[in-house]
Order: sequence, then structure tokens, then C-alpha cells
Amino acid sequence: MSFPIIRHPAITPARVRRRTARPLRSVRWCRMATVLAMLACWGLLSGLTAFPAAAHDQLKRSSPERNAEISGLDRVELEYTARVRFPAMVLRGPAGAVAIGKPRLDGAKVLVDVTGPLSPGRYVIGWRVVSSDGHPIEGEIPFTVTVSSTPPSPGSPPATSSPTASPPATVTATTTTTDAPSATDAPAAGSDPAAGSSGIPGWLWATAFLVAIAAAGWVGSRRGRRRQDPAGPHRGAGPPAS
Amino acid sequence: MADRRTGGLPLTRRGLLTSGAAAAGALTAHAFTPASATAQAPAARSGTAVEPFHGSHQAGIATSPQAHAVFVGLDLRTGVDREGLGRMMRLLTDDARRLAEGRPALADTEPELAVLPARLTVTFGFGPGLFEAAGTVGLRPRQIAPLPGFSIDKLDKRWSGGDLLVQICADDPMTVTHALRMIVKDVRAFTRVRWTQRGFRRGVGIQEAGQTQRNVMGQLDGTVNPVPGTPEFDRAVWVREGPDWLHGGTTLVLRRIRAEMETWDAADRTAKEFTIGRRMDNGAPLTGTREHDEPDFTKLNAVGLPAISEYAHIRRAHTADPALRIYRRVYNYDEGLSAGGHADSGLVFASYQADITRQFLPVQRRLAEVDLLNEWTTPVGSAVFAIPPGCDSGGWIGEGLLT
Repeated sequence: MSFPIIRHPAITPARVRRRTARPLRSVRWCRMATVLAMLACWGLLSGLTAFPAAAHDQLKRSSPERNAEISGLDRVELEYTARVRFPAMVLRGPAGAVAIGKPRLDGAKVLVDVTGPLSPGRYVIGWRVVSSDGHPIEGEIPFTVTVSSTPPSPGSPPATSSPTASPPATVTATTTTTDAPSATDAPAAGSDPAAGSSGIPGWLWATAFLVAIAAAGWVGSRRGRRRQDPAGPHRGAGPPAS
Repeated sequence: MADRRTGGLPLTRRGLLTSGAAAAGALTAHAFTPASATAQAPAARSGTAVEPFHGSHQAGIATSPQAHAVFVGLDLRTGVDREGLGRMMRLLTDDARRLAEGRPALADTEPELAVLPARLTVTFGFGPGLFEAAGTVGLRPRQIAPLPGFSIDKLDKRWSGGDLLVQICADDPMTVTHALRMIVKDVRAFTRVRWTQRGFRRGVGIQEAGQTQRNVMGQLDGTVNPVPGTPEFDRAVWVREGPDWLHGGTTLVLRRIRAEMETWDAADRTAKEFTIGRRMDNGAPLTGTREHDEPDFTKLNAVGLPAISEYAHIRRAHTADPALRIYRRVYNYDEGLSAGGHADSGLVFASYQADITRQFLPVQRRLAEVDLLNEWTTPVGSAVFAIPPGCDSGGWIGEGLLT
């Protein structure tokens, strides 16, 4: 724009700008292409590894917390990163499913009353909500009800005696979702070895890098060819606004 | 838009272009391309195919859905009484009969357009207001009344109500247009047009007949639908109770359902499948592998929650008793784009059932109460009609009510 050299009435200011900026352009384009290619790879890898889509809401905290040891439970409270909808919850205990109240919504929270007393043992909360983008997210929160005031039943440690209880901390996303992290994003998730998709393997990063380099070269060569193309700029790879 | 008779024959098409005379081109193709005989046969057959007009039921309901449809809602002009309605229905029946048989309507100004009926059916329905005009309020089945309001409705008057329905379906849009023109010219002395809703399905020969079609949202739509010709269909669709004149007829609830394509397109596949309860690719329930697998609503996933969500569309819409199901004969619509490129598309949702109160309303109530799909669909039009039974060659539609 600073050099409005009008060579021909048909030449638009945009094209003038590109012509006058030619010396810098190839450098800038290479950089741009690299960034774009890397972004593309990132997107590809995200798909391959079920990396969490940033758009989906997540569980922020829960009560009881993951792997908590508590003496009793009146209410389950789950808090998400945004307002969620259509909550569903089940509670499994040493003796199978435990009757609980109907989940209700309070902003970004889901509240469920636990109606009866829980006998000591290991429990798992299974939850599902619909994220604000329509994507369902679900997960499990294992916890243990410890023996409190009441004396323990003789010779039966709660954790090992119940064949119906789910294995602790084995939290996986089910086939209905691709949001494994949502199942592992409870506060205790960091120590959870079963959190399968908490990171991208190194070899994928290496592949991404190589693909990015190749893509950058390819885009650059195409730019070179297009420079001789009298048809002018093509959409999608136009110069960035200055 | 290739000439129908030359469709699928590139050589012929080229011949058409170079010869400069369409007729000559077609003749040339006939004379010199033996293969054209077989290639052209299906097109010719679908053009001259006829759906019988006469019968105990009106055509256009159990009829395998044609590719194109127009539904017209009409309001009676003041002063049109039972005698006038009788005259009108005699005229319209005559038009429908002739056109369905590939004959020009009386005083057809474009008689050449009538010769390819392409399975044309013209179906008539009576809205609540017609019974008042005819002085036969006592013969109006109670179910023929506007539906109760639903929380999900955003009804627009321009798509709702109507005293008279004309439903025109054919496998060719030109045939539909000509039939509409003929019918409307005869009916406009008695009525004013309230709304016109055009719809489409896949074209003839695009996929196997009887295969479930996809709607504009990409879902296989109509997997669980009574099958014409079965006892279940007859029980679900044809009226056997209430006023005699409607026996052998049915009822139509016509809902215009806008698809919120912008947000639907933003939803990912998991969200879409969770919403419907079926896979997008083959329509199988999330608990099965094939489209017609029975959904297992009791199956739990690894977390212990229902594999088909409590709020999934197919669970909420499910009606266990086949005799209480509705028969959906759904068309898609796709009107003009907004300046910003946003679609105005959705479904012209035609639901036929013997009893609206026992069949349609329970489903609609459940869906209105909660259905994940509501996020992406909006009912914008609603109309209810009694569809009188059919007639024989000496009769006319509505005779039982209007004489």
C-alpha cells in the first residue's frame, strides 16, 4: 500500500502490493507453509490419537474425588468446564448397581443424591453428559467407602472381597466417545497409569516433523511455479494481511 | 439436465449437440445405436409408468414414494358450501384421474405435458375448516384438529393449517408442475392458496427401490416404517373406527421440520451418532451392525450407561407395537440460500396414521419432552388433514362426506 504504483488500470492495489513485496515474499511464504504444514500434521495426529478436541467440555472436579476414601456419601457432585446437558449417572458397588437419585443440573454442575447408606467397599461412579458442542463425554470415578464408626465385618477387607466391583482406576473411554481424557481428567488422573492418551508418542512427533518439512518444500515449490502463473493469486494461499 | 431419452448415452448427447436439432439427434441415436434400445428402456418406462387412481384407498400413501412432491394447503373462500365443495371435488377427482392415467385434464392447455405421468398420484385431504364450511362438523373426527402446541415448535403461519390439501407426487418434476397447474386452475374459484411445500427424494434409479433413503442431514430416515402391503401397515394406516365416511381413509400430519444445518454440520460424527442412536454410515443401531438390526435399548456400555442414550432419537421415537407406529413418507426440502450462504432445508414430514391421538401424539410428546435431535431440528409448520378413502371409476373423492 505504501507504493501505489499504478501500472495498469486493471491492477488492483492488492496485486500491486504483492509485486512490490516480492523480495521478502519467498522467505515469508516458506515460513508460512511450514507453520501451516505443521498445523495440518497436528490436526492429523489429533485425529489418530483421539487427542481431546478443545471444543468438548471436560470434567473439572468431582466430589467424591477420584480414588477418594470416604466414610459416607450423600451426594455426588460433578463440575464441568462449561454448562453441560443430559446428565446420566450410575453407581456400581460391591453388590452391583446402587440406586441413586435422578441427576439434576445446576449450571456447570451435575448433582445426584445418594439415597441410602453405602456399605464399605469399592465403588465406581459412571457418568455421561452431553458437551455444549453436542459431543457426549463420559467417564468413571472410583472411590472407596471405608469402615467408619461401624465395626468392620470380620475377615473381609472391603477392597478384595467383591468380584462385582470394577478394577480400580481402569478408566477407558468407551466406544461411544473418543474423549479418553475426559474420563481421566479428574484431579487424580495425573497418577493414573491407565490414562492411555495423555500424551503423543515420540515417534509420531518425529513423523509429524518430517512430514512438515516435506510439505513445506512442496508448498514452496508450488509457490514458485505459481509465480509464473499469470492467473494471479489462488485462494487459500493468498498473502497474509499486512 | 440431459434429455430423458438420451440419458446415459454420451454419444447420443454429442450427436444432439452437433446436429443442432434435438429430434434429429434422437432419431439418429435410435437408428444407429442398437445399445440405445436397452439403455433407454428404463427411462421410458418410468415416464409412462402409471399408478392406479381407483381403489379403496387414495393413491399416494401406500404408493412407493415418488421422487418429487408438492403439498398445497388451500383455504376455502367464504360462501363455499357443501354443494360447492361437491362440485369442486368432482372436478378435482376428474383432473386427478385423467392426469394419473396419462391423459390431459379437461381443457388442458398443455395436453402434451400430460402424456408422461411418471407414477403421478394426486391425493386430497380435508382440514378442520372444511367440515364447518360443509356443515358437517358432526362428521369431523375429533382427531382432525390442529395439534396441541409443543415446546419445541416454532410454527410459522405460512406453513400451517389449511382447509384442503392437495398432495401431488410423481417421479418427474415437470409432471408435478403440470398437474399442479391443472389442479390449481380448477380449484382457485373455490379456494385461496395458503402454502405450497415442495419436496424431493432420490431420483428414479439412483438407488434400489425400497432402500432406506437419507435425509438432508445425512441420516438414513425411515428404517422403522410399516411396510405397505403388510397387515401391520393396514392396521397402522387405514381408518376403521369413527365416522363411516372416513373408513378406508387415513389421517395426515404434515410437519415442516427445519434442519439446523449450520450447527448440525459443526457436530462431529460421535455427537451425531449419539444423538440418533444409529451409525451414520449404514444406519445400524449403536448396539448392532446392520441397518435393520433391532436396537437393544437395555445394552450397557463399559461405564454402565445405556449404549443407546436415554435421550437418543431412536429410543424416544420408538413405538414397540407395530400397529401403533406412524407411517412416514418423508420428503426433503431445500429452498433458497440466504445471502450469507446458509441453507433453508429440512423435511416435509408427512406422517400417515389411522389415529393421530393414539399413534402420532404419544411419539411427538416424547420427542418434545426430550430428544437430543431437537437441538438440530425445528418444527416450523404443522397441518392436519383427514384423507378420505379412494373411489371407483364412477365416484369421486369425498363423496361419502359431501353428498
